Amino acid sequence: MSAVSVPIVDEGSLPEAFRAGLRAIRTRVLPTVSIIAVIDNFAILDLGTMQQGGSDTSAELPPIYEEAAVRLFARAPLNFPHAEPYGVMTIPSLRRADKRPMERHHPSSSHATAKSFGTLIGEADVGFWSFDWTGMPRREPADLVAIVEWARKRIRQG
Amino acid sequence: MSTDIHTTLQQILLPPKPRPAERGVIALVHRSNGFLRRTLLIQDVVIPREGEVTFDIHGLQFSPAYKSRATDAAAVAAAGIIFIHTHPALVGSTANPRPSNDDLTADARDLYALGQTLRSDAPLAAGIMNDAGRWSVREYAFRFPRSARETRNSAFGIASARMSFATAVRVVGTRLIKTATDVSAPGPAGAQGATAPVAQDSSIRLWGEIGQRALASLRVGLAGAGGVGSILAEHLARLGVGQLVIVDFDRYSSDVANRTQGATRQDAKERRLKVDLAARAARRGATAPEFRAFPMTGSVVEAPTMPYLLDCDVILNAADSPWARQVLDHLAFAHLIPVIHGGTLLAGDAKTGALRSGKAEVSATGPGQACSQCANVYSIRDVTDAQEAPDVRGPRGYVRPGEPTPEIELRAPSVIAFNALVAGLMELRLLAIAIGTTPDAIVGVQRYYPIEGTLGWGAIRACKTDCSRREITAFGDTYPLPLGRDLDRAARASAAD
Repeated sequence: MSAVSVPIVDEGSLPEAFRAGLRAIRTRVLPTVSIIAVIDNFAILDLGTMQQGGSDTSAELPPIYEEAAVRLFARAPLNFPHAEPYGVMTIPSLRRADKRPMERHHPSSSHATAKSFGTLIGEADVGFWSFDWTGMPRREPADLVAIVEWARKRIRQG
Repeated sequence: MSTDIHTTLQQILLPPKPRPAERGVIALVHRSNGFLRRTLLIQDVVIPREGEVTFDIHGLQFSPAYKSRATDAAAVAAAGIIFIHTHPALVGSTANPRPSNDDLTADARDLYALGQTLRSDAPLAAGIMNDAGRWSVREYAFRFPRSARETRNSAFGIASARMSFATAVRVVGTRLIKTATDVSAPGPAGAQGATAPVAQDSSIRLWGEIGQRALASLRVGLAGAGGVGSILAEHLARLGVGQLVIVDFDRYSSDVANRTQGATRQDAKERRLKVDLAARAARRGATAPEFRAFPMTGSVVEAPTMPYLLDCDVILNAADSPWARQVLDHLAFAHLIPVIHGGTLLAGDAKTGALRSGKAEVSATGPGQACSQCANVYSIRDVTDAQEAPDVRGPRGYVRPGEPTPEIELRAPSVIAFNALVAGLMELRLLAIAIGTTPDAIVGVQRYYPIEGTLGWGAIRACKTDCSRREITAFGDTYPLPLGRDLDRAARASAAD
């Protein structure tokens, strides 16, 4: 897994409701969460590394992939909760060890969203899961905390 | 103010007789600043408790405890304050109240004192409602000293008070009622515009001079100048509205010639802006003597456009985007501007010529209506999709392995006949809201199903119990609308370059 260079995002320029959601994530779930990029109307949240055999069981990468570790990202709309998170991304793109196709997964840069993100941060191998927010909460800004487990669960399910 | 707030004020200020000679109340206000118009929105009323408002030989008094409660509530809501009290009205009089010298002195003194405890940009105002329900409203601006030196400077403090008087009062519910104040202003700046008895004869016969003057007092926003919008621009001007603010970012081309009213081949050759064509058609057809059209190139979901929309008394939305519907839905409640949405959804069989499915839909949103989200006029999923780049929008994100990529229709099927139907229903809803032409056909979603040839109403007439629109009603500029970057506009601009 390659290192990811982090462009500077001025969080102070983001909508207050979104920043409240970000604060909730940092306070309750993942203190290290950061915004790696803002592309149009979505922020790309860096949710850290998932790896096999790591100390953080909630970020455990199941042994169904060829990769032993992956950097995890999620797309959150700047207008949350008036729009929904859409899309989970990984660097590198994941491949199942049993070669089975993965539902809603767009490997490498075959998807425009992954391609623009990859171009921005200088990574060619970005995986994109077209995963939506169905059944997830969005009543208030703090509901954004659910994005961490939402993204991790997607990866765990393969 | 909303109808609910107006009702509360009337209950407090105009209680059954016998009653004190003057009554008073304090309310919370927010700003709603447009490009041309400044509005103060009454967001909440601080209900006085027993003994907190008294009237005696010294006049009307608000107790210190009441004023303290009001400033606490204003601080929590990031709001300002308005003092409202009553004046008697002569029986049968239609005159507006005017503030006395005592009113001007006392209100300036008390508002200055309270204003020092609020945020520096908090609006401070005073109003008078007389027994006939007529108004006089003025806003105060003070220069509060920030240092001991400024305290000694006569340019600061209570002597710095500047007043500006309101020229109209709007009460917004299922109806939009605009009333004049003691300061008259022509056209949409006031509450009554000029009429044209000959050109408007047939409609004046229906709703009278009063109704026609009410139409002429409206500045109507028109979001979208395409199929439905181009028809609305001309029709609204012919109906006699006072002013039109037309918003669209697109240019006219020959591939929409079969559904753009008023556009010509030359317009297509020159790729003229749709807003300019709509404004041209409106000016040519206008019947209100002092009609004006303001074409604005921009997107409804982007911040630079907002001040022009906040100038409007009512907005007709003919833009297809769910995101535009959401922004205008929030705007309708936060800024107390009724919005009427209209659109069509059609699918046909090119081999047989028969429609496979179809729907034309018109709805209204704002206080007194169900919000457009509860009424299923848009969904958050659709709004999210509309915020994506055009090349990844729609069903492409849901491609299943082994299935072909769905075809994306860049331009939805549209027929001018359906557009005209939708435009007509939107105009009728506007007349219901602004004049009261059809009181029983004013709330809800109206749908025309062309295959069955039926026109009916949706079942939803009110918001769900957990809807948040009540929480944002009349918060004005302090409420952040869900704006962003319109990638369709950006794509069009990029293509033009």
